[in-house]
Amino acid sequence: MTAPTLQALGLRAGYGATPILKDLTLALPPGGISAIVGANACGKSTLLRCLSRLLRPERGQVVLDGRSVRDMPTRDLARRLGLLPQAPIAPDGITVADLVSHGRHPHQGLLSRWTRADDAAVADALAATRTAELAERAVDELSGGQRQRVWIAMALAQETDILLLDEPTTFLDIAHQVEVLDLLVDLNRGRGTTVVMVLHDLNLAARYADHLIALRDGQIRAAGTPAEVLTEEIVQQVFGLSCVVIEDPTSGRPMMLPRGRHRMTQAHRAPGRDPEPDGTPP
Amino acid sequence: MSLTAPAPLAARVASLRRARSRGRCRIAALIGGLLAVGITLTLSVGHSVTPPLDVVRALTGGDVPGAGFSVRELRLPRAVLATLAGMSFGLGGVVFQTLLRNPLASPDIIGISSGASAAAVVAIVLLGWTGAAVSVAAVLAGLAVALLIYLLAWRDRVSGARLILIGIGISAMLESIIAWVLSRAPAWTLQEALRWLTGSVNGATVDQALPVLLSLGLFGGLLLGLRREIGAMRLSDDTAAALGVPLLRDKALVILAAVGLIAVATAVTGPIAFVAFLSGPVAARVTGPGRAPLGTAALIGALLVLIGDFVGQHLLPARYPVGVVTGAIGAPYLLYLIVRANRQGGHA
Amino acid sequence: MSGALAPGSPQAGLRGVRHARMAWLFVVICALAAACLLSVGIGTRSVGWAEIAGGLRGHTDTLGHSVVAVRVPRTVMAVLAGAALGLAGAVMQGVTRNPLADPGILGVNAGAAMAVVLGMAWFGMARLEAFLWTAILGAGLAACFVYAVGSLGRGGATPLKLALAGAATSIAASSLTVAVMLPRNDIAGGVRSWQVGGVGGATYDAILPCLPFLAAGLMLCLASARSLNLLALGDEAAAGLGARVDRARAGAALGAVLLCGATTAICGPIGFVGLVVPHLCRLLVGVDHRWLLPFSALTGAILLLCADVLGRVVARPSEMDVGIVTAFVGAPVFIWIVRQRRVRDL
Repeated sequence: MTAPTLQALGLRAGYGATPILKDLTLALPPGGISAIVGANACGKSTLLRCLSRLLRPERGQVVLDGRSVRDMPTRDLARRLGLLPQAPIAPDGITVADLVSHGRHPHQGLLSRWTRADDAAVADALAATRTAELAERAVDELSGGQRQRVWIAMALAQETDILLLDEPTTFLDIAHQVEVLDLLVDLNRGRGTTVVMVLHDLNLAARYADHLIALRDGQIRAAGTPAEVLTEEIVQQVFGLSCVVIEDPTSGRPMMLPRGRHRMTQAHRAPGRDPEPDGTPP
Repeated sequence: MSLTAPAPLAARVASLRRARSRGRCRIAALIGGLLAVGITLTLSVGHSVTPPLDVVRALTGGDVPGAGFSVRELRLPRAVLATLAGMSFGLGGVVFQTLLRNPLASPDIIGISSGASAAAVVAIVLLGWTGAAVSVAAVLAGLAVALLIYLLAWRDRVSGARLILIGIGISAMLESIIAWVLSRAPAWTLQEALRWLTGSVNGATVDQALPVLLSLGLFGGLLLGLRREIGAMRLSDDTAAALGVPLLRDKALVILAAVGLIAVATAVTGPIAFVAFLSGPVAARVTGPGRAPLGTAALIGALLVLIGDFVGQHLLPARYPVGVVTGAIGAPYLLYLIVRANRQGGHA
Repeated sequence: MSGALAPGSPQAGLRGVRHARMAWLFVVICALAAACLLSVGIGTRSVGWAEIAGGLRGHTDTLGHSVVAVRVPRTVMAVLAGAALGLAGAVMQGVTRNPLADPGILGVNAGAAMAVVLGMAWFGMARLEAFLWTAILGAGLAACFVYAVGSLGRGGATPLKLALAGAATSIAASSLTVAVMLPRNDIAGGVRSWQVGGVGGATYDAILPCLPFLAAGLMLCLASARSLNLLALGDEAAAGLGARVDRARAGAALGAVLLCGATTAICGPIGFVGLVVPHLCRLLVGVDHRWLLPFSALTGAILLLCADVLGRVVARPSEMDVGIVTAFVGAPVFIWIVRQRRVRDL
């Protein structure tokens, strides 16, 4: 199986009169892990929704392996491209096994019966996310980290080549954030799934993604390897934040430390910022 | 770590699934049995009690002195209409509750049936219509009001919350029209007009049951065919779309079918209160939360109408139409929801 | 902070808002006076200025004078009911932090109606004072019930859940009402005409007994304006700012229930006034309850007067009850409000 190519060509999209994405073009590296970063309301989620066809762009198109996704039957697309929305809703009391089974929906026809292959795919997804022992539990009884793994299991049962995730680590504590991101790397390595996610945390994005896409005002400000994108200059442009970028001693990837108005050492005090309130000159 | 599951896990998943589907079949059979008891009761009890054997003889064409006519011409149509209408309300109701992801959002609450009732009351009281014309007007108005609610709720896409609220607004307006029209009704049409307020199967005929049967076959079949899509729509809209459900088309189809079921049944029996509202949650309670209990809800709906009608006719001091009885069940059910939520501290 | 206020400074801005509010207050009071005159003057039979003046002075010489004598209590009733419903709506929206709260939508009217019908059928009630007490009791019970049902589950009492709980409770209450009424032909007629809200038959004898209730409700509501401002920030923030959340909420809600119950007892259920009026007033004077509440009362009175006059004009020579007119005016506004809001806020 060759890795699929997903591209966006000249996207213009939004919800009201003013577009959120403005003529945005990008190609996602096949078989890699990409992270979309940017300030609030810069169009990260809108981009993800366009890529997964949840939102119809006003102009431009999304192309999967040379075919516009608009022309693909919904079910075919859902066998190739999975999406985990930001705040998915589980029906009250549904069990983990039942929820994960929903992932098989695009593989079932109107009359086809549930097959051994479906069972195997569900079991596979449960095993890969280490949720097998939760199979009979109700989803709403689980902890946040467990619940997120179960939702990822549902997307895995869909057996797609591409998996899009909208802020998969929101509402999770730092240990569970790392756990979920490690799991995504497992999938990428073990199954060759192309992973595309929106992430809030720049440092985690730089650590886990092979490819960073920095958005600003609905346009791509920078795209490339973490080392290319996570620079002091680009962070200043994208977030309006002055920072210091150092090498993360645990991963060797770049990591950024924000500069604030207070509590900075003499060497890192941002130029032109307020002096310390105790009166020491900058 | 290994990404392929061990075979025993797949077997466990499969056996879990089979156990649940066996459980569902058992429950459906149990409710079917109860339904048979309800039908038998309706067939054998009237002004006089007919023994079940005589009922069977009367139904197969045998001549049973004193009971043949009432079994064949009075009680049989009543039982059939109650069953079919109950199934329509139950199925239509659970589909709405599933689609809108809210156990309170049944079509009778959000005004889907108020259009049919308002049209019928206006036709009877103000225009003096009778019979089939009233039913046709009721079906058309029911569909038109549902369409209006759907269109008003449209902004980019139809959101469930907006649909519910606009339905409540429209139905509040229609209720006030109904109250106003009824206040001007001469006393002799009041009894008939009241049917459109509460619903009843009094004076049922076989001709009336036929359209309900047809709509149940057509729309019910469509809904059963779409049951997997309905199941995926229980998750959020985004998730359902990501799972490959053509949301725009399927949502419209599902709503159309559910509205059709409700409107046709309402046009014949009036809006039998709370049947659509109660069937889904009761069905979910007995079958467990695994999937949307479409078939079970239809059976429960039929059971509710049959039992409600029996109670209203024979067990209360005065004779009440079935809708009054089922409507009165609604209040304790809401109370039960409060009590249960207080005990569990959270989830309704 | 010292020195002269520059134009555009925060203080100057606040003063501008105050002036605008005073101007609106003047406009609203004038509109109320005009609506009262319309209500006395217009109807199945129109009367001239001289006849109005004579009728107000108590003359009953001509037909016109007696028409005025009938219309004056009706106008007083409409003013009282409208003010009570408008005020109650604003308070309910504040207490539940819910833009869709309305005595009709939340099932409070249905509860009051059921209580009155039960009273008539089972206890043979016929006196107005008894109606009042029963209606207020029913309204209070229904309000608590709906709020309890609406707060079930995740996310507390969202507008959506409260509206659904109100609708379901209304259906249950009206089913019970029909169940009680059906075998009782003796009371059915009276109940039916009462179930459509109207001010047509108002007399001073009917108005007097409800005045103490309305006054008490009015005091409670107006006194809670400050705490409603705090409650608008959320229970926790309000508690942090020193409000006694439960007591403030209970006091304001009791005031609203008194107003709704008393109005419903005399006029029957009138929907949508309590919904529409506060929204209108928020456009005029903003969200400060100290202004919003009195404005809602005044505007509610104007709306009900106009609806009553409209009902007399559109269906000549007969009349359309005010409850149905407000429903026709109110439902589109309700839908507009729903369409304005983002789905997440529902």
